[in-house]
Amino acid sequence: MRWFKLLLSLAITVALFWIGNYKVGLLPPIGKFVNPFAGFWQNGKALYSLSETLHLPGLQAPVTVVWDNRQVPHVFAKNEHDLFLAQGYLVARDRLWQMEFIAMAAAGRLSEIFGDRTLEFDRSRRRLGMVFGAENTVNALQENETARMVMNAFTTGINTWIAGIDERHLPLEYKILDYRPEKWTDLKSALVLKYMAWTLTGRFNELELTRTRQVLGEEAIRQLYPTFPPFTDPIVPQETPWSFRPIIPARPEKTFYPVAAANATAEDPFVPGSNNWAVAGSRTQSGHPILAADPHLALNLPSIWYEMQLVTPEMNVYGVTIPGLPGLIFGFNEHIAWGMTNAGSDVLDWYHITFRDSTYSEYKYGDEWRQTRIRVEEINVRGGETVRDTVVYTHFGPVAYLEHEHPFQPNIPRMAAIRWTAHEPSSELLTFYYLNKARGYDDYRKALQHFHCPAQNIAYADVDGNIAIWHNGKFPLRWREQGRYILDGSDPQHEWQGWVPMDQLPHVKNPPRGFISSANQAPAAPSYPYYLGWFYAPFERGARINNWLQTRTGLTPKDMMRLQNDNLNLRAKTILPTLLQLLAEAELTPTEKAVYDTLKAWNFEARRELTAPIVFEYWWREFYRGVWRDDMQSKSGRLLWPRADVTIELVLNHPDSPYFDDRTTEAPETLAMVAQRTFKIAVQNLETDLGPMGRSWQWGKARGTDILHLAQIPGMGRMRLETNGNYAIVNATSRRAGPSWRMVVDLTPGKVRAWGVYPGGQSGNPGSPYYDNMIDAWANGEYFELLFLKSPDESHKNIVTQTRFEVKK
Amino acid sequence: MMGFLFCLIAMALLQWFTPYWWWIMLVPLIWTLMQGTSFRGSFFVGAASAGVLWLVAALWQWSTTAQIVADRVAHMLAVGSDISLILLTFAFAVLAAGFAGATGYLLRNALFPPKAAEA
Repeated sequence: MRWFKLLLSLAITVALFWIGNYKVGLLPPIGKFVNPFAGFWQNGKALYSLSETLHLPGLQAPVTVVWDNRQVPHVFAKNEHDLFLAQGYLVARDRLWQMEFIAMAAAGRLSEIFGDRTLEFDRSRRRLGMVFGAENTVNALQENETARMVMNAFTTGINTWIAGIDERHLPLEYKILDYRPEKWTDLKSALVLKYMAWTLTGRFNELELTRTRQVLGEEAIRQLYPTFPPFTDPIVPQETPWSFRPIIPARPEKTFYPVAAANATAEDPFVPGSNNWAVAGSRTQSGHPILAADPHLALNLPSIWYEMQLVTPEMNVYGVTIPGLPGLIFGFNEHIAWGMTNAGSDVLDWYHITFRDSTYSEYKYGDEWRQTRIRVEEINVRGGETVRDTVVYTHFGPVAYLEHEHPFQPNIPRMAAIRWTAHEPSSELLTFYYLNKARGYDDYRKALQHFHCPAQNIAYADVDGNIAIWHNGKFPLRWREQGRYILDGSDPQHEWQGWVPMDQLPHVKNPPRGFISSANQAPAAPSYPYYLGWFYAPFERGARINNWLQTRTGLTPKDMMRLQNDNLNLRAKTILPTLLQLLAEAELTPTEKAVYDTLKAWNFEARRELTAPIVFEYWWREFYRGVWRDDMQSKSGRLLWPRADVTIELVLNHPDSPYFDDRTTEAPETLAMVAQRTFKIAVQNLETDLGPMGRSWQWGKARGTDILHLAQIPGMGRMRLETNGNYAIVNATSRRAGPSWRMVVDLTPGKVRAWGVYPGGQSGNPGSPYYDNMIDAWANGEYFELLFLKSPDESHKNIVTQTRFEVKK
Repeated sequence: MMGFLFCLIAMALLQWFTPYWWWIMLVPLIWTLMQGTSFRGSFFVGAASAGVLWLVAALWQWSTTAQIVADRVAHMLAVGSDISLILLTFAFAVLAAGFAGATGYLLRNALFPPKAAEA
């Protein structure tokens, strides 16, 4: 009995120790985690109160950091080395977990944290050559003296912070997921950049379009998948002449390579977009340019952006960075301001590879067999054995998935090598460095030469009155439509033919219309001699911005904020009146009639208190499906559905098109019948999903916005925010994505002022009030004036405290 | 009472200077291995000292800086409110330290049967 009691007690004790000390499933180790002396209880709002003076190893001179009331650090250093060291230290202080997590995700190392649940994700990162690309970037950066200095200082700063934190001060996520930070490296910074490159350029539909062409034929492709999207007002005004002699590669005889590729594809993933514009003094009240920029990304906490001011005797720049990257990515200084939108041009192609045999050691290229290169990837799996994954590389790039394998994303073709500009050696980080210091247009141009991938539309304005925009990046020189379909890797004529000279890229400086803008639409009219891609954002945001600016003068920063928060649904305005006209009012039930009246009375604004926006959203989705579902059936897999803009064009200009007929039924259907039928279904769906028409149908409630934690840890996000806007609207706030940083800069010489906001907060600590303190202002369309200091001793009501970093002897 | 005070002070110091949570198990286990007199008493020594220590420390953190994080963690662990989270912290300390104390006593009993111990 005594022994039994002992064994029982011992067993319970050991079990309690076990769950106390080790992770069980997704639960944190409970004892370690709730320990009030070192667990989560320590991650309160006072987690890292910086003392007034700190001694940092590696500094050459003292650095002063001024903190404002939103916890934005304003860093004053005597030289650049110290500036980037302090930046690394501060970013790590506030966002260490986030930046390391992003770097690990990009490298395909999440299984080290989550075990085998993330194994296939990790494998996909290795197969896409993410680390390969990051290594090439690091090598390129190492060759440049300036880049080397910046990276060394920045990495040192981060590691100084990491070396200084003990168990108890670990960021909360490390405690929840039970692991520890590693040393930071230059490679990790490069991986953060590749993460952005994948987010912004890792979108492709070659597989579906190749299949679609095989199923529907060339004629349908021409009609339904135009290379210049309908209604588009391009970034560079149509009338702008091209003053260069283009190099046009010859188009080979055989441009289409039919591939039997039969894997299914899921719904299109979220497509990030962004807006930026600058207005010249001729259109502003002050007579000086104003620049506005708002990049749209998936919204997470901690927020993707971190706000800072960086000052040395030679530069004074304010803006936001992505934690893990040195310098500032969007911002302004005393001379210029800049902002980016995603270029959307095609910088990633797939080449079908013909292997000699199943050893994959040789592949056909022209008349020869070429050797592949093998890279063995080791994926460490928490609580499991290390997985060794062999990746086959061709001279194009890695072959993502072989014949018998299952691609992680269904749009990745099998037996195809990925050719992607993010794999090329490049030094994008230098662009930020030079932009941060730029004093005028020539400096801006020079800075842009280093920015290759992810290609961006970089808007510019300066205190001398100039405005400009460049569709900037490293773009392959291709014959027309090359890379739209899967290419033939054995045909040397299908190679990229070189690079489009960077000075011949679409751009415009000081156009007569007095403003420049971009919203991810096609960069130039079809007369532009180079083929850069075709899957650009549809017309709505770009057209709205241009129409709005075109009709106004005497603009102020307030007006720019109004435009960034503009909720006009141009898609609805374009198509809804026609759709409503098609409805047979007499055949509607009383509920349907009430819904119809709501739409009829709508001013097309996607405002949170209105019900019409959700009705349009439901109807449009049903209508779109109703038009295409029957035409896009194929046994060989999912086809690429024609886009919304093409559908709108068809309704407005070809109402008798046979595409409106439902092929699966014998009786002929008309456009009006599709409209009527889908309207009734939409109303039904609305009632099923939201109950009878009423408050629950309000846009802000029915759609809303969720800002999730980056690792989707419950309780660490902000859910059900009642927001205005939608995709394809200038205020592009949708359920999971939206304007991730809104910035407006007034470039009055000597008095540069700026306003900004992002849906998050400076602190990455979920226990801090500064984790999400700007979200409500963001959701309401409000801004904070950015405190642009000239010296650390300046006094201002928003300054809270100062920290001095002293040289550690 | 001696045991309670000894454990409380030893745990508090060890927890203050090191990040390890398991002192709340090891300290009572060692104490009762040396000084345990009854099963209940030994359980109590561990449970009370660790329970008091963690309850007071959690309440202190909660009332000074940790309300926001407690709210979020309570949501994550689906325990309802931050009050339940304080109770969870307390309960875990009571159980872990209590059973460690009891096991210490039982081990002592097994290794040095009562008579030998008295002698």
